This record gives sequence, structure tokens and C-alpha cells, in this order.
Amino acid sequence: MKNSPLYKGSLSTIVLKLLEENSRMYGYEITQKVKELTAGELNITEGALYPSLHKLEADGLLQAEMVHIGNRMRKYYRLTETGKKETADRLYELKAFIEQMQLILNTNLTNPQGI
Amino acid sequence: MKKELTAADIEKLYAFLQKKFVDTYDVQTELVDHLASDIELQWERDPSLSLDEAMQKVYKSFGIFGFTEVYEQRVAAIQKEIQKQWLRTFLQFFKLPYLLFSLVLFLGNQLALTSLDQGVVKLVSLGLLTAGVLYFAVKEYAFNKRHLRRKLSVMQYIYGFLPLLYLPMYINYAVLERLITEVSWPYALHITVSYILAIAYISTVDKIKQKAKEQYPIAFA
Repeated sequence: MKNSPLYKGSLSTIVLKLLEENSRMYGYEITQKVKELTAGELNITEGALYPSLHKLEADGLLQAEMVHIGNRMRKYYRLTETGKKETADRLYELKAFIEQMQLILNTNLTNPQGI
Repeated sequence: MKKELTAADIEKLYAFLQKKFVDTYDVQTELVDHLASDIELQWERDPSLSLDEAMQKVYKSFGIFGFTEVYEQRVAAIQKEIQKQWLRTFLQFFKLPYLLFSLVLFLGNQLALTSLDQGVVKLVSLGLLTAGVLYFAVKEYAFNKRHLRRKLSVMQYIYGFLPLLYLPMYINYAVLERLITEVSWPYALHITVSYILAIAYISTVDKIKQKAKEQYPIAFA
């Protein structure tokens, strides 16, 4: 993942948003999906993803199920009811934040001297 | 034809993780699937890669801390989950219908403290709680020894709070005795809360163990 607090702070929201759209996903699939959606610009590291998934599970926002895939087991995550509500809240907050940031950035771009 | 990992390859991945100090089956299983998925992707790009070469390539992507961070954070998440579940169960005893049980327990303790010798009641309540917790610990130890076939991180940390169930009671009695001499209800409340904490913890262990059994049936005989 890009080494910026901006990206790091948004990891759990990215995970929640992907699970909202894809019903259930496993860790590796999430890393690949993010890579695909951002055309390789954003690379989620495993060392950041799994702790985030485990934390969201401990908070009751995700529930996990184990599924046999060929000769190995796979852990799928899906949103709980609380997780769905939390996702909606976080996305609303994030959108509002982006709008506010855009207002600030646009102001600075059109009036760089701040006069 | 797509090159896939065999059952023997999967075992090799488990052994690889064991060597890297990831020794619990739950974390191993999730990481094995991750490694396997990435190795298969490496093979799609370059089928001539050996398993070891592909494995090392994938391992590098975990960064300088390797799997350590994943493992440590998993432990932290488990401890948080246990605490949250414990608190949730404890608070249920102050809502209907469990509130009735709490009230009966409190009134029973109060009745015992006012009609019997206070010293004896305190000693018996302490003894019962300590004996109950020890009985639970022995029962769980026997169950795990007989049925737990694989090491699970949740099962390693789930019993970490057991001493908290009776140790504070010893300390609190000493503190209460210095502060309160006239009335008995604070003692009755103290015994009630201590017992409810213990019951909530036992119920939490049961729920978390049940979840572990459902998620990792292979880990239990």
C-alpha cells in the first residue's frame, strides 16, 4: 500500500466498501481487486490487510466462514448487519470529507495568494 | 493447463509457516490460502518456476517483518473480541430478563449477610467462586487435552482472563473492610457483581469456543 497515512487510514473503509459490493471475499481476492480497480496504483500489503480484516471481525463488522477450495481451506469474509450500517456511515463520512477537501483545494487553486 | 498446488505442496506451505513462527492453525490456514493463490498466479506467468522459488517470491511481498505483524495483530484482535464479548454478556445481566436473576442473587447475598455470620458468608462466597473457577479451568484443560488436535490462536488466549475472576475479590474484600463497617449491602453487591462477571466469562468462553469449532472443525477431535 502507498506509504501515506491517507491511504493507511482508509484501508478498513476500502475493505468494507468492497465487501458491500461483492457479498463475500477472501484476503487475496481483496488485494487483487484493489490492484485491478486502481490499475496497479494502489497495492495493499498483506501485513496491513489481514490485521485490518481481523480487527473488523473482532469488532463484529465482519463474519468469517471457512470453505473447502480444492485441497485447501479458504476464509471468506462478509459484512454483518452492524457492518452494513457501519459501511454506510463511513462512506457518507468519507464523501463529505472529500467534498470539503475539494472545496478547500479548489479555493487554493483559484486563489493561491489567499487574497 | 493451469498449474495448481497439490495436497503435498499445501502441506509444504504449512511447514514453511511453522518454520516462520506462525504456529497456530487458524492463522496458518488463512496465510496458506494467500500464499497458494499468489503462487498459482506466479505459475500462470512463469510455469517453469519451482514451488520453492515461487514461495520465496511471494514471501518477500510480506515485507521485512514477514508474517510477524499478521500474527501479532491477530492475537490483539482476539483479545479485543474476548473483552468485548465478555462486556456484552456482563451487561445483559442488567437488562430484562437476566436482571431478575441478578436481583435474586443480590437479595440472596444480602439476606445471608444480614442473617448469618458476615465473616463466614464472605469466606464461603470467596471459596465458592475460587472453587468454581478452578473447576472450570480443570474441565477446560481436560477437554482441550482430549479434543483439541491443532493449536488455535483463539484457544491460546481465551483463558487469559481467568485469574481476573477471583483475584480482585480477595483484594476488594480487604479494601471494603477498611472503608465499610456499618452496612452489608456493598458486600452483597460486590459478591453479586463478582459472580456475574464469572458467569459472563464462562458464557463468553463457551460462545467463542463454539465459533472456533464451527470455523475450524478439523482442529477439534
